[in-house]
Amino acid sequence: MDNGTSNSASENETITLKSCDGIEFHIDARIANRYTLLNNWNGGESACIPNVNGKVLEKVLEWCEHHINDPQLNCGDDDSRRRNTIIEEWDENFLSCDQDMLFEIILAANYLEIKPLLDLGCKTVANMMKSKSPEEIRSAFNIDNDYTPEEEEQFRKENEWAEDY
Amino acid sequence: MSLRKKYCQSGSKKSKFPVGICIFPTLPPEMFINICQYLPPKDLLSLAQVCKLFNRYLCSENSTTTQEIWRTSRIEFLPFLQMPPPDGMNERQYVKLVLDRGCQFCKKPKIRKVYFEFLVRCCEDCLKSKTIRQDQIEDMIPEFPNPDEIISGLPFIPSWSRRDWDSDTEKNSSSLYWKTDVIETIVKYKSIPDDPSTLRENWLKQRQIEGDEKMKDIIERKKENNKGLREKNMKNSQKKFERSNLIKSKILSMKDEKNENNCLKFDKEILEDCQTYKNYMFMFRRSALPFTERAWLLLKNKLLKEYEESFERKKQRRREREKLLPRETIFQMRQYDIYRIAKTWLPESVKSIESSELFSPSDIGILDTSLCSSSSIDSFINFMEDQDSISNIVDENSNTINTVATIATVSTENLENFSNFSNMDILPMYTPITNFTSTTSNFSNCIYTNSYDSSLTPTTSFTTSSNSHINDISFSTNSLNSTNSTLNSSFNLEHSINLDQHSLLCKYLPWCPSFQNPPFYNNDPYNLWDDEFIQKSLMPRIWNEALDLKKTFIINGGTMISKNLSVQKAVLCNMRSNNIFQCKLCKQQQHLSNFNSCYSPLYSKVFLSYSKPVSYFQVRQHLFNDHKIFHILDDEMIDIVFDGLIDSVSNNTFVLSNCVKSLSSAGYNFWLLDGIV
Repeated sequence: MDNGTSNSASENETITLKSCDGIEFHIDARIANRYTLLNNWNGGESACIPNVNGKVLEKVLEWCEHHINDPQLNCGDDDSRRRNTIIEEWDENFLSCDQDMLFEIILAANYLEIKPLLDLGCKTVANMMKSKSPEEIRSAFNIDNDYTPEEEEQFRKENEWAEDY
Repeated sequence: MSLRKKYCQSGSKKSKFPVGICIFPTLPPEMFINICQYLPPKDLLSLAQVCKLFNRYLCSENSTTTQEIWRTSRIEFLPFLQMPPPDGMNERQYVKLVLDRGCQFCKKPKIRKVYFEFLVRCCEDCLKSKTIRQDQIEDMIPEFPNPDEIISGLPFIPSWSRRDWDSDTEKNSSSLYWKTDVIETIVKYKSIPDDPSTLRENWLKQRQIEGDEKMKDIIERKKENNKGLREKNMKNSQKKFERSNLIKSKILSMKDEKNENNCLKFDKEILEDCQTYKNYMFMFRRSALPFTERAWLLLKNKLLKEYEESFERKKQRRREREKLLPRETIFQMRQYDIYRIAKTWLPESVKSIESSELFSPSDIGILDTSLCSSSSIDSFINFMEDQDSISNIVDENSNTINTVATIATVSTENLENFSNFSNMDILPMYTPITNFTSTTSNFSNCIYTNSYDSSLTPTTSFTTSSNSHINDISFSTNSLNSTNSTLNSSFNLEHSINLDQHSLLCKYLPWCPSFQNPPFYNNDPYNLWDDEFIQKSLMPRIWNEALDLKKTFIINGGTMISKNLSVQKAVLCNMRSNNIFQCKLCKQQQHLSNFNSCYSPLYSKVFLSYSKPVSYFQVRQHLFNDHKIFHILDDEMIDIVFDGLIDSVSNNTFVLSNCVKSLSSAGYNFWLLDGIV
């Protein structure tokens, strides 16, 4: 997906990104090149990101900058990506923000096609749900329970899951 | 969806969302799938119960996406379930079959046995009622000569694997077939026209091939599953072992817990007698879950509750039992109580009292305490050289002037003693004191610099002050407080000079006034002390008395060794191991026998072996064992043979055991307690 010219972009070259609420960010062009960040980037010096607000974009760009020297992942290699369930410390701290921000980062990463960040976000959410009962998951994420008590009872009966799995 | 739209348009966060609603459920499905790939099947099932939306994602049996989520999770997280689900089962059902617990039919909990032959998880009873024995099938279809052939296409549980189950029945084991399968097959077979016969034959052949395939598949699944179970069992037993060990170590560490008086918080025996303690220390625990801090708190609270109850019960029982015993026995019992605590009691607990409270005029002087510590004079010197600290003490409390006065008296006395010391041959066992004498100059200098004004008559001499202690056995808070604070003063110093503290207390205990005549509640020995009183008031007091004794007999006693030596003096002057004690009774016996020349043969042996002086322990042992005297009065029954020279120095180690008998030889009189404690 990277073309020859973008790879040769020098370190000093910057481009300007504009969030949907009009905040401008000057970033290293290598970041933009690396993550096909901008579908509608025409190669010019500035671009608009219509779906991401300034606050979220700032976070996303912070992550990109920190990981600018990471080796490129082979996009087809789904398995290796999944197996690696360990989250680096920096990433963990980076994502220990409030939940809404976490989900917005996931959405933004999805929108901007930053696959590693998307996976990282999903992994974080998954970790928040691990070994929790349905009720615990609900309260952890503030999700409304739209089941009737009868349905719940039915579930409870059906699923006496072993504790050691 | 509307929420998401809003999000996309405005892009701003939180404020645009109703408070308390998470945007998690609004995530597009592909992100939900992405999250699911990191979750094991167990969590997926929980997730399916969170809300209807998630349930739709995870329980749409016809959706390939749903199947893919489960497949991914199964392959990733269930290494023993790598084979794809068998025909007729989807991913979720298969995972549930193997991971769920409880009988599918009767709902009996905790059943985990999966019969891959029939793809059911059920209890033994349900299995029996749902299956049919091979030999029964013949009876079902007597009209057919080939029942085995007809059912040959069906999966079955082979008879050999049933042997254990059928061992207690009279019947031989037989292979088991699923009842409804058998009925269906028979119906099917009957429906095939028997003419031409090849129709049925072909059908049977076909079924047999299918059956073989199925059984192969089943064997593979069982193998895979058993391997997983074995690994899991190993892991679990490891986890159980770790958990159990962690609990044990936590419980054991309770035994070392100290209370604010620096005494052990729990009585070991009571603790070990608690049911919870026994359960966790000696029984195999089944849980393999990690042991959390919260679990420990719950467990500990349970244990503490049992402990408290048991403690109270024990105390109550003791009261009841002691009511029946004579007063003398109880008296010794209380002494024994003190002794038991004295064995482990150390005065560190009073370390942190403010220095201003430390000094009270009626106390034994500070220096006395330090003087007692024959074992480490060096630190004492350090202390004395630290002139500032002395003057600080004086500045801090005007009362201290009296203390200093006391110091002066005592020290002058001591100085006299010291001169005596240097005149006489110092016995090898007094080496510490020799050291001390060499530092006398240093010591006297320092005393005089601090006690210019105290050339006035000293208000209290040591003897009176300690006497007032001894007499003060009434139980009043006032006196206790004062005792406490006076004690603290000595403890601080005592602590810094590193005495061999346990032996100090145990050595002098039988001669401590508060031990000989303990301060009972309301002067009634039947009243039990509570731990707080013993630990906080009585023990410090006895400790201090022990220090007094040590001081009196080590420093002053030295001068008197050659003079009229009483048994108590000899013992407290560290001579209890020297062979200078003799049994007075034997002596009298000897007199008698000389006189009568027909003495009892019993005493002859006794007399022979004890005609020579022996150690204090031996003479008391002799009195106890040979003369059957249980209440030994040292002065009346023991003689001292001392010519000023000590022939042999036995080692001074002083070991006390709980045995009433051996305690008796160490100077205690617990004879009434034999068989009670």
